[in-house]
This record gives sequence, structure tokens and C-alpha cells, in this order.
Amino acid sequence: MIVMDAPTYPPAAAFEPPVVAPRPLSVRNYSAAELMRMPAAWAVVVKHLPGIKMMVANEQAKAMTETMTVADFAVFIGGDSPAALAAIDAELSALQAPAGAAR
Amino acid sequence: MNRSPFLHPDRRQLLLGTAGAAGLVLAGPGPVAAAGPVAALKVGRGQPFDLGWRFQRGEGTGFEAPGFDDGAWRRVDLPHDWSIEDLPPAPGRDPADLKGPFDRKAEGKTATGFAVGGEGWYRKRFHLASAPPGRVEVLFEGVYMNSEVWLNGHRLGAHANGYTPFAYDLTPYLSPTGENVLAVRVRNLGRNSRWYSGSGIYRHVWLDVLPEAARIQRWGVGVVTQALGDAGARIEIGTRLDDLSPGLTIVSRVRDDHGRIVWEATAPAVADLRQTLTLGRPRLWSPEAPNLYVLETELRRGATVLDRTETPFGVRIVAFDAARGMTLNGAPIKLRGGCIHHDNGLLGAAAYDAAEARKVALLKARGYNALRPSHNLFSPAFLAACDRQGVMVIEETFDTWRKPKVPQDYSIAFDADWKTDLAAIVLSVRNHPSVVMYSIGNEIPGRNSPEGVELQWRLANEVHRLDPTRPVTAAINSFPGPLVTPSTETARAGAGGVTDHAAAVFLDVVGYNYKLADYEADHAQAPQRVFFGTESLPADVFAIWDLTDRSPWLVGDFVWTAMDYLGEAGIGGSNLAPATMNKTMAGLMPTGWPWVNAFCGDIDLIGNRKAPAFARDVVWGLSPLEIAVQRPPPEGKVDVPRHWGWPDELQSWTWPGAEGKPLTVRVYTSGDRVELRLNGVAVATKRVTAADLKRVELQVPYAPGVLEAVAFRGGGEIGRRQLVTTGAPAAVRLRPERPTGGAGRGDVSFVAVEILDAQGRIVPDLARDVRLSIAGPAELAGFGSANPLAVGGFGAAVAQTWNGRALAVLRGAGRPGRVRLQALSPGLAPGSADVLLA
Repeated sequence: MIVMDAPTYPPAAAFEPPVVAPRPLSVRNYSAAELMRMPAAWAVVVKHLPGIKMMVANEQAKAMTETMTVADFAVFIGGDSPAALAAIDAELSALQAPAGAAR
Repeated sequence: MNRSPFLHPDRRQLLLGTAGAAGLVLAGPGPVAAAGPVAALKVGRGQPFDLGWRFQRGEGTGFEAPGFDDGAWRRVDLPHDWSIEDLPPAPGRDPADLKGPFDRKAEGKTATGFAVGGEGWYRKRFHLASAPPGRVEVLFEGVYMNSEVWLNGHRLGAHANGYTPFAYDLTPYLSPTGENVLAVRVRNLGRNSRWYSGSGIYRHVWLDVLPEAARIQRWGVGVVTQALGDAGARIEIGTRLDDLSPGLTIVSRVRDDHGRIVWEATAPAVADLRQTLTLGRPRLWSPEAPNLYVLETELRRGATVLDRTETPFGVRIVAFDAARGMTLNGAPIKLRGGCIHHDNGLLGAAAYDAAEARKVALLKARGYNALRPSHNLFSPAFLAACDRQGVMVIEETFDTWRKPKVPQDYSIAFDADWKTDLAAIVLSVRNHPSVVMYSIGNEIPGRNSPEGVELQWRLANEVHRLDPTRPVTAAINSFPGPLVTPSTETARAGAGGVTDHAAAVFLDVVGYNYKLADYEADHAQAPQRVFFGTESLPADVFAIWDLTDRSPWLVGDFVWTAMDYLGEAGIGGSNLAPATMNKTMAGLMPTGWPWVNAFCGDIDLIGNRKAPAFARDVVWGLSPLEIAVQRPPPEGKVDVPRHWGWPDELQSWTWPGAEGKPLTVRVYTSGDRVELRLNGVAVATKRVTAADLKRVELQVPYAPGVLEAVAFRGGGEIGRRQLVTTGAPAAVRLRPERPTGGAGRGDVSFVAVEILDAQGRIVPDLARDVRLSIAGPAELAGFGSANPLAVGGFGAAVAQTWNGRALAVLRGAGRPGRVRLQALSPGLAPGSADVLLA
């Protein structure tokens, strides 16, 4: 017979908002909707991935823009190669992330 | 069909033979097998309450009144799903827009598979002849959705969630005359689901009639394996009791799977009783050996049993860590998983026990050792089948939190109901050994926002409070948002100060939807994280299992989906596109009417293997070799799999019209070389390298006859498969899946319908009308094919085969006997078969 104790997952004591780290502007760190709200950033994305404009106009996809990234959507429009996404990130990194975007 | 002594034993229904209960035994027979307007009830917990309902599809006023004349309403026995029933003819509508239960103008469109919801009412009369007992409570296992319940005109309450169980205390409103009427209003309105939900009281209803108010709390018994050791298994039993009065005792008794008592104890009844026992030489539960025990709990006053429950459980310990991955009873194990929705194909959402068990058995036979019921609680019968058959379960709770996915979904009720619904889920499933993890949500919108992170904590923490024995996960399709660091006070155990993604920070195990490309990078970034694929694309099966098998931190994968389902119509399969079209765009070409079936499963809607299953059989080692042939596309077209799809390939070498043309033969093999022989002559051979990931393609000019594939490894033959050109259809064959079945109204039996050639081979790729007749104590509960397109209803005696097959589902009439089926199809020899119902 094997000898082992069962693991337990006790509840935590109380909720405190976690400490938030700054996040660089990129196609993976920000949701598509967040980038859409930054015109300069969105222009970069559309320049590299023109098909994304049609994609996010779709009703179902639109609902997912808050929780899906450009990198996620790129899978559906054939623009998900590491090189393509890195090119977008390189241009995004030159843009200033708006104050308060990272909570 | 629950013949196991653990599940629906006779004693579950009866507390008779005890002095205190005897005075409450009611006049007339016990629960009857045939539908009737009035069912007499005895004293006991969990009495079946499925028979003899009246049903009206449509809204109205006064339906809850006890004096309302429901004589014109249809008689139904539960489980019942009105959305799978044929729609009535609609004057002025193009008949081509209505196919059985499917309506081209259905509000849910492809999401619900063009099925129609609406409002429906149920009424049931029942008789309690004696003075009111101590407590009478009705339990609904699941009603889709937004139900309201009245007893004798008194409104008992409302329940929004379509998948969680709920109960009402009937005691205050019972009629002194003994004649009672229960009325249930069900509203499946608007766009409230992203898949086929079904409508109505589609799961069982049970009635408790107890002699005193004191009782074992509903879902109040919990059994936990705390440790395994040389002395045996240390088990803790928790028992919660309601409305205690002095002089009560609790008797707890554990029986093994032979019914032998292996432990028994008696204790004074207290509100929250804790007992610990040691089971010497326990028979552990695992997918290979799903051993079960049963805990009998009796609440007694002296020798009188006031209440009694039976709790099946398994002795097992599941653990996770990034170094060893997942272990079950100390041994590493991978979750060979599949996602499924809850419908039973031709039966709609109706959760017949035998249909639920069949679904589990079909998937277990294909190598699945784990299922993810998506995205909600499944029926108790389904979970019981997983326990018995040895299939692990990710118990998913919600598809939405506060933010909707479709306008009228559960998000409307979430804030008011989530805590109650979560408790019902966790407490009702916690004793199932099959359940290894809870998922607090699927692709939840807003999960990465500050509010979402707090809600993630609240749900995960509530699950841990209710059941601290299992980890919490969630299915996450993207990780936008910041990295965050929780305090020790807030973090899950041992994770205080550990930085993680906002969307995953409070999860014990992280579920990834369609993120194969990120697995290794995420592991490098967060090596402490244990994760698995909560959803994956069928086409990724080769790459996923190549990585999973060599990565301890990656504990498994759940393909979307293991079995076809109604709704999300046409996300699988393939498109015929112009050869010049961009392949990505071609794969995204939308479907629409008359697609009604998602068609992304390994197994089709009626239970037969589809092409992805051939590949999976090889990847998981069930078979060394499988072959399939691409259906030749028309000139100028190419076959492009959809995002969740698979090429249109069949295990067929019957392609009239393609003579001389090269056909694509796909070979799935664990070998290192494959050879194809056509009519005994070698026509192609290919090496299979590691980079091929067990899949190669070869071209063979088509000629009728025998196509044979032979797989080799290290020079030795490891497998051989043949595809044979079939002749013209000659006969119908009826093939019962089992020679015997249950005779009750809740029992269903399955009969395969197949079109054969003169040599007795199934003719593939064939659509033929078949008329079925039944003689004996059964009715047709469903008859149809796995065709993903709507071609008709599932309730008629005539159906069309698809790929040469159909399925008939018989429902018992409530009395035993032999049922003879006959099948006729023009120009074919008829088929017949008998099923003995007992």
C-alpha cells in the first residue's frame, strides 16, 4: 500500500487586491479592446494585420475583444507567425502605454 | 438502468417496516411504472416523481391554479425536452424552413442548432392519503430554465439556472384532503445559450416524504479519503443534520462492492457530525479499477429510521505538482480528456440514465479517461456512470459570470444566484470519486479586470470553503492583463507573494483553451504552474500528445469535442472551397441553415467513430494503424477543414466515379513505415518519421477492390487494415446494442440501423429512407442519423440513414416484454430484431 496524505486546498483568509506589475504594451499583454481604445496602437496592429478589422467587427468576436488579445485573433486570420507578432510588438514598444492602463 | 445496488436500490425508496413510518404509509400501490394522473406516495427519501405529468407548450394564465382543468394537456413522463420534439406545421411558412424540431428562423440560430425554446408548463397531481408527515420536499435535478413552481396554487419559488438542482419544501402547502397539484412554469426565452440547451424538466424529479422534520441535510454527507497508509485508508465522514430534536442517533455503515459491511458506527445525532474510520486493505478507485464503496447513513429515533441516504464513494487520492504532474494514488497519470455538451443527440437534452451511461461508455471505449462536461453541471446519472466506468471529470460550474456572452444568458441571474448555485454543484458532486477538479468558469469575459480578479478569488475561495479536497481551475483562452502578486492572506495555500497572470492567480491548476503554442514558453516563465489543455483543436491531437507525454507539468488535454452535439452548428467538418482561395479564410467560411450539429467530435451524434477518432486511436495506442480516404472534391475545389474541423475522410474504398483518379489516403500509425496494396499489388510506401507525428498521406489511383495498409516498425509488421469496395445496398440490418433493456418509462435501449450490401458489409456514404415499426411494450423515443444537416425530426417512424447508418432509441412502456422491431426500405431486404425489456 502506498503511503500518502491527501492534499488540501483551504480557503484564504480575506481578499486584498493583489499588487500589480507594470506591463509593456504588446499584442499579448493587452486585450484587443484595450489596444482598440489606443488609436496609435490600433493603427500599428491594423497596419500589420489588416484582416483583424473585419474579424473584430463580427458580433461574436466583438464580445471577446475584452478578454482576447491580438495574438489570439491573429490565429484566425493567418497572422500568428512569431515574426509578424514581433514586428507589431516592436512598433508598440515605441509607443507610451497610457497612464493607468495597468492597474 | 441503474441496476447497481449502489445507485438506485429498492431501499432508497422505502423506509417501511419501521414503526414510526408505518402510520404514514399511503393508500394504493407504490410508485407506478405506467404514466397516470395520480401517483400514490409512500414514506421515503428520493422517491421517483417522473411519471404522470401533464404538459402544455405555450404560455397562459391560471395554469398554476389547483382547479385548472389540464385534461386537454399532453401526458408526459420525465425526463422531457420539448425542444427536440417536431414543430407543428406553420401556415404561411415555407416547409423547407421547418425540419422536425429545427426552424430556420429560430432565435438561437446556429448557436442552438436552430432549435426553438419558448415557454412550457407542467402539472402533476399526487396523492398523500394520511395526515401531513413531518417533511415533504421535491427535488428537481435540472430544469432548463427560469422555472417557477407552485403547490396547490402557492408559489414556492423560482430558479434561473438551467443545470443546477433545486428543492422546495412542500410541507406547509400540502392539502389536507390529500389531493395535491404541483405546477411548473419553464421559460427558455431569448438568446440565452451558446449551444443546444433543451427545454423543460429534462432531468429526474424526486420526492422526499419523511415522518419528522428532522432529516439528513440535502447533500449533507461528505466522504473524504484523507490518507493512504500501511494500515489502510483513513476516511473522514461528515454528516450534517437539519431540525434535530432530542433522542436521535446516527448510524453510519460502509459496504464494499459486494455489499459486505466493512465498518459501522452509531453516534448521538448532532448538527455537524465528524467521524473518522480506517478501511483496511481498501480497493482503490482508478480508471482501470473503478472500485466503489457505499456509505449508508440512517437517522434514527430508537429503532425507527426517520431518514436514510446512500452515498457511493471511492477511495483515492489525487495530487498535482509541476515536477510530477498529476498523480492518482501516487502513480502519474495524464488526463486523456474530451469536452462534451449535455445533449443526447436524437433524445435532445433528456437525461435518461441509460443514455448518459452510454455516452460515457462510448468515450471510455475510445480511450478517454477524463471528460469535461461543458460548461455546466451534468446529471447525477452521468456522474454516477463516470464513477462506475472509471472516467475522471472536470466539474465545470459556469460559462458566464457577470458579463453576458449572449443577451439573456445566466449573467442576468449571476449576482443573485451564484453562491447558491455553486453550493448546489459542489455539495452535490463532492462524493463522486470521478470528480478530480472544479472549474469556476469557461472563457469568462472580464476575468482579467480588477473586478474579475476579485470575483475569481470569491468563486475559487467559496469552492475551497465548500470542498477543500480538490483544486480549482478555469478554462482560459487568453491571458491579457497584468502580472499580479497576491498577499499571503489572499493567495491560495503556498502561493502568497508568487507573481502570476491576473486571470490565473487564484487557480490551483490552470486550464488553457487553444494555447498549445504558448505552453512551453509559459512553463519557462512560470515553472511552478501546473496546467492542462481545457480545450484544444482536433487537428492538434498529434502535437499536443507529443508534448504532453513528455512534460510532467502538462497534465493532460481535453479536445473540443469528444462527441458531436446539437448547436454551435458547423464549427467542425470542412468546407469545399475554390482551389484558389486562401486556406485560412476558407476554413473560416461560416455555415448556417440547415446545419444543426457542431460536427467537431471524434464520435458522431449517434455514437459511431468519425475520422478524428481514427487518429486518436493511434495517438493513444488503442490501435497501431488506421486509414481513411479523402472524399474526392469536385473539379476546381479543395476540401478545407474548418477551425474545429477535420478533412472529409471516410474509412471507405467505395468511390464510384473516381476510377483512375488519384485519391488521398491518410495513414495514422505508430509504425515507422507503411505500405499500401491495392488488390494485392503494392502501390505506395512511405517512411513515417518522428516529424510526421504519426500521420502521413499517400496517393493511390482508385480502382474498386481491396485497399490494404500494412504498418511496420523496425522491419516487423505491427498492423494491417483493409478497406473493401462494397456492392449495391441490399438489406437493412437492425442491431440492438444490448439484447435486453429496462422496461421502465425512464429506460431507453439503443438499436443500430445499418444498410448492408449482399455480402453483409455496411454501405458507406449512403442515405436511404428506412421505416421502422415496433410491436411490444415500447415506443420510439428517437430515430435518426448523425447527419449534421437537418433532414427531419427524430420522433417519426421514418428516418434517413447517413453514411449507411441510423439509430433507433426505444423507450420502455412501463411493463416487461419482448419488443420486435422491423425496418423496411424500398428495394432492400427488410431487417428485424428483438429486444427483451425487463
